Amino acid sequence: MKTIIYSITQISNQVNSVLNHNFSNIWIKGQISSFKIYPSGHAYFTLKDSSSQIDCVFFNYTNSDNIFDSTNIEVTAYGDISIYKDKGKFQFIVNNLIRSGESELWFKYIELKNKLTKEGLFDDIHKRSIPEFPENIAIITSNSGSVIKDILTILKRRANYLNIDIYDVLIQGEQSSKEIKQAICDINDFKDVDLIIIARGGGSIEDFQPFNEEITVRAIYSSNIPIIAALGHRTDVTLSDYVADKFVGTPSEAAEICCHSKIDLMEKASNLMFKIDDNVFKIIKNSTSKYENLHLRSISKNPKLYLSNIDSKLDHLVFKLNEGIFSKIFKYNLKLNNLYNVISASNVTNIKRKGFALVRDVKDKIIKSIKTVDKDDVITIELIDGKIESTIKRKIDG
Amino acid sequence: MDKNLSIEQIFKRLDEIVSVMENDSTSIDEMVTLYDEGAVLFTQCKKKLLAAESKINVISKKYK
Repeated sequence: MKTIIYSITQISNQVNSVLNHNFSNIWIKGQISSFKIYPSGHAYFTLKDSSSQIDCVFFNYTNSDNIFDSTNIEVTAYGDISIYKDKGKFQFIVNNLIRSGESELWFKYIELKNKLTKEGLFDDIHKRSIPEFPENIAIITSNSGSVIKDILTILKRRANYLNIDIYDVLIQGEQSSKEIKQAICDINDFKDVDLIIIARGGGSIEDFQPFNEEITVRAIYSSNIPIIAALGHRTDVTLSDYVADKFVGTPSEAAEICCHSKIDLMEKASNLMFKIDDNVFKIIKNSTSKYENLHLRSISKNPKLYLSNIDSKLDHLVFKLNEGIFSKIFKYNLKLNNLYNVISASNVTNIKRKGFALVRDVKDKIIKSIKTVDKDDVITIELIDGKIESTIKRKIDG
Repeated sequence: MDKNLSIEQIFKRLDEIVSVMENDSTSIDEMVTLYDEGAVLFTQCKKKLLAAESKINVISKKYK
């Protein structure tokens, strides 16, 4: 036989794997001592009985649902055994801690959960769909206390079109599950109800025991009417939650989600009516334009109308033509008038009419400057109505 | 038309009317009939919601 020599890491790994294989998801009962929470949020403690002890660690203890004053109390811890390799010590990695008084209920809960899971009671295939527009609702709860008051306040505010039957039952204690079952059966047998809500407020695991009992779970499973479980303010999901068609965190939430608010319904109805209006409007519009198209097409196919169309086209052309010619003539006239005005403005006669005169020398040339004439020259002054012959006496510079 | 339709039935029928109307092959005559029906249902739904006042029964003696 070959001798095997392990390294420390090898033997630690192998022992760890043996422990993981054989001691995972186990329950250990004992008394807590040396309980310490580190800043990381992990808790370190020992579990012991009269003669032995085990080191335990609960990772992220401060974020868990298990927080309670844990020193020197009897607990049942759930978790896995493993090796802490740095120290070569074995330890218990705890995932859940239950006080001893509660542990029996826990074991029952786990046992029943496994049994019913195997039977398929929690399978999605059995879930009834929650009606979108329930009008008749049955609420199974205690008629005293704040839970029913909260639910009714919300339902009255949101949806006062609902008819509500309250089945007043005990929601804790030994009788509770029987009453819940009876209420579920009665509603199914005698009432025209669209939806059942089973509600209770928060409490400890013992308080929720009726909702973890087989009789309740099976009654919910057997109901033909959809059931919402609304069991509030707790850390653990009850078996009634699992088997119900829907479960919510609090009774108030059930009241919020179980039906449409009146305002939503009004809006929904208005939207549908708007769609109907819109469709009618669209089809009228489409039909009108279709009719118009047909009308136009029928016109184009009628020979009489076709001819008269041509006539009117011709008329139009002639009119356009005339219009073109006339406007050209008019434009020319205008131009002519303008030219005439310009010409007549520069006409000498017109200037003379205003009192101006033309002065010519003996050769009949127009005198434009005094430099071209001398004293005693003879000049002719032309006015509008005749001429004046004169002699220059003196020149004066202007 | 049944005047005691539930809200669920009213909305179901209104949805149907809209989808028939959205179908191109629906004739104008059908449209008019559907429009009338839709308008009646809408009024019915509105009346029902406006007039509503929750009826609350407490059934307790048998259980306690």
